[in-house]
Order: sequence, then structure tokens, then C-alpha cells
Amino acid sequence: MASHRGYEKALSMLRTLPRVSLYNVAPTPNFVKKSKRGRGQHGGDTHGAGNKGALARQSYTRTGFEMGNNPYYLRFPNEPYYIGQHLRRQYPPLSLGQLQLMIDTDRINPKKPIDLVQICNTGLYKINVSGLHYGVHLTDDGADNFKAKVNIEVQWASEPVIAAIERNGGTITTAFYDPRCLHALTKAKKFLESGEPIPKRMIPPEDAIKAYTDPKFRGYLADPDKISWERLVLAQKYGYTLPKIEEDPDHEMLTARKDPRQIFFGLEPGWVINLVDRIILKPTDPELKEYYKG
Amino acid sequence: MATMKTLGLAFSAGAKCFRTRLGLDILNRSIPLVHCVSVRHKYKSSPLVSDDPGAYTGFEVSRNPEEWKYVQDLLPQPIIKDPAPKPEYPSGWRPQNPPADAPYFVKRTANHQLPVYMVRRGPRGQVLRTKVRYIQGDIWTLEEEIRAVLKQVYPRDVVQTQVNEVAGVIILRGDYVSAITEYLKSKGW
Repeated sequence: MASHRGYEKALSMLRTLPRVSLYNVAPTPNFVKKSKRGRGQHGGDTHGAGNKGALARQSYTRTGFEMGNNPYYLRFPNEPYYIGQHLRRQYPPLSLGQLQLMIDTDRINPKKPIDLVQICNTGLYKINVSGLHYGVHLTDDGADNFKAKVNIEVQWASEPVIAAIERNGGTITTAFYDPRCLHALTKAKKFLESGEPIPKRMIPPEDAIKAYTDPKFRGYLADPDKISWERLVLAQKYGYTLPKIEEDPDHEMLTARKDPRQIFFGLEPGWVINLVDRIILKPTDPELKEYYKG
Repeated sequence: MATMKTLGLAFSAGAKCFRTRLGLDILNRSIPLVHCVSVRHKYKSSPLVSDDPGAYTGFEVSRNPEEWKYVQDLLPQPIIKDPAPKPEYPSGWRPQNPPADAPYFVKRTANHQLPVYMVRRGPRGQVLRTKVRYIQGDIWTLEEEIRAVLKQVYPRDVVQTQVNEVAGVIILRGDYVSAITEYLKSKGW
């Protein structure tokens, strides 16, 4: 009977005891922690280093040494072209054929300027910003069948791609966005719902400045006069007559460009969009205005 | 016996220990169910909104519909609409125009594409299979047609098919995606 009563007592204790957590965990009663490690006969023994040899004498070999073997860290020749591979900017590809398919199936409207927002809003193209993806690389696959007249802004494009777009009377710009802006661009709806002010675009990193100021690359920081000259040069190189965009009915759409500090068309950095009340809040503080301007 | 002795010791000392630690009498069952531990405030639990108007900078409210058009351009389409008919489709895509007397029906996917896929299976994805989905009606007729087409395009191949009539799926061993897609497209599916 005694054991039965003990069992009941233990259960009743359990019912009223608080849950075990770091706050109420305590050492067993009468437990005394040894504050010192004795030496020699007073509990020292081998001090946890084992018996005999280099380990007991604590005369270890240097790290990586394999007792006369060719060490692992010297066994393979280095591959210097992979240095910094994990830090390089990545541009996931999108082909001109895929872009034409998106236009044919009404996933992208060619009557309006196309940028990263429009491409990501299709749901057919995804980039992972935290995986160092910096935007779209427009590739020349399907360039022969590309017939759309578009004003497109991508992050990377080769010469045949630029030629394929300008041949049809369209325009192309290559533009850089920093990761914070890319988060806003690739998930535009989520960003607008967050109620954060539109960030300003940062200037490209040092190794990308040369590309984005190059008129041959149609960089967004290049001189517009030099770009129009390079358009003519490319038309002669690839042997097509350059359509005059000055006389085009869509001239306004085709020449729409963002400010180097702007990330969304028509909306300035620093503005806050309220999707619920359908209003735009614009800062009036001169210090804030100065910050978002440059 | 030793265990019982230790347990008894532990119990008598433990009860005392808890009483001193918690400042409560266990045996009278007066410990509250929720044990009060001070909550550590994280940055997320700090309030975003301040009652002090001086904490905010000034702003003006704009209700310009011209500016709002740019906001609407940033929002994705809530549903995938049927593509509007166009005079030409340079990408090679065609809207579905099925033959009237076909004994079967091949449904397009949500993205208005043909449901023909290549599936990789096996070690290191070495086993290739072609999967045709969304087949309604007489699936066996389509299987015979596909076999006949592949016999023409790849005369030396032994085509092995697996028909799942309930799921409306035909699986072929090997990569025949382009041949089957071209055939279905030519028929108007």
C-alpha cells in the first residue's frame, strides 16, 4: 500500500508542479560541483589526454599534416577561375522566344514599357534575390522569330539581342538594381502592401559601372546621344534599316525611361503607396527630399 | 533498496528545494498554473506607431488618378485570362482549335500550353519518360495515333507506352516531347 500511496503523491505533485523549463531546472540535491581539477594523485591522472605518445605529451603535428603523405590540402591543383564564384552576380536567363510567347499569350503587354516588375508578375520567371540573382539576362534564343515592338529594360543583354529588338522598332535599356530594390521589383504587390516608402536606387558596384555607362550595352547611365549613334552603327553591322522611333505613334512609350534613382515607372522614391485608400503619400520634409533626390 | 532510499532523500530534499526556489507551498497545491516569467521584448514587439506627432515628418496626400495608373501597372493579373485572338503568333503558339469529330479531347494547361512533359526518373535522372496529361474520352485512339506518328519519325525506336485511362495520362519511355507536341499542334489541340 505504501508504494501505491507514494505513486499517488508523486502524481499529485506532478499536477501542481510547473512545467520544466530552463528557469526551474536545478541540480540534484546535495550535488557539489568540483571547482578544481586536481593534479597528480589528487584526481589528476592523465588530465583527459590519454596514455603515452604525442597526444599524452600534447606535442601535436601541425593542422593538415598527414605523417609523410601528400596532404589533402596540397593534393589537388587550385582552380583560380572559381575564386569568388559564390560572390559573383547572377543573371538568370530569359530568351527572346520566351518573351515572344509571353506576349502572344497576353502575359505581358507590349503597349507599355516592360521591366522586371512586368516580367516577374507573369509568374513564369522567378529570381532569387538572396541567391545573388540581380535580374534578367535576355538571351538570343528565338531571336529570328521575335517580332514584337517593345520598350524593354533588362539587367543583361548581348549584342544580337539588342539588334533583334531594335530591328523591330523597339528600344532596350540595361539597368542595374541593388538587392533592396530588387526585392521591391520582383514582388511588387507584396512590397506595396507592406506600406514602406519606395527605396531609391543605388549606383552600380565598381565592377559594373563600366557596363552600365556603355552606350553599346545600352546602359542606363550612358549618354543618350551616344546611344542613338550606336543604334545606327548596330543597324549597319547587322544589315537592317533602323525604324525611326521619332515618327512612331508609340514614340512616348518607346522613349519612356526611369531616372537613375527611380525603380518604378511614374513613381518617385520616398513615396508611400496606400493600396487600401488608393492614395499616395509624398514626403514634404526638405531633408528627406534631399536624401531621395541624390 | 538503494534506489528507494535515494528517491526518498530526493523527495524530502527536493520538496524543500522547490519551496525555497519558487517561494510557494507545493503540498498545499497553491502554485499558479501559469508561471510568471518576465517577457523579453524583441524589436518586433516594440510599437511602430508613436502618439507624439513631433516624431513624424510632414507629408502631402495625393489622389491623382494619373499617378494611380502607374501603381495599377505594378499589380499582377489576379487570374490568367484567355489570350485575345491575334492575326499572327510569331512564337509558334496557337490557340486551341480542336477537330470536331475527334473521339478524345486534350485539355490545355492553365498557362494555355500543351500538357506534354518530359519526366526524369531513376539514378541521376537517366531514365527519360514523356508524359501526356489531361486526356479525356477515348485515350486508346490517341495512343495508337501517337504510336503511328513515332513509328514514322523514329522508325528504329521501340516505343513503349503506358496508358492510365482513369487519370487520363499516357506515359512513354524515352524523350518524344517535341514529336508529340508537333503532332498535337498540327491536329489543332
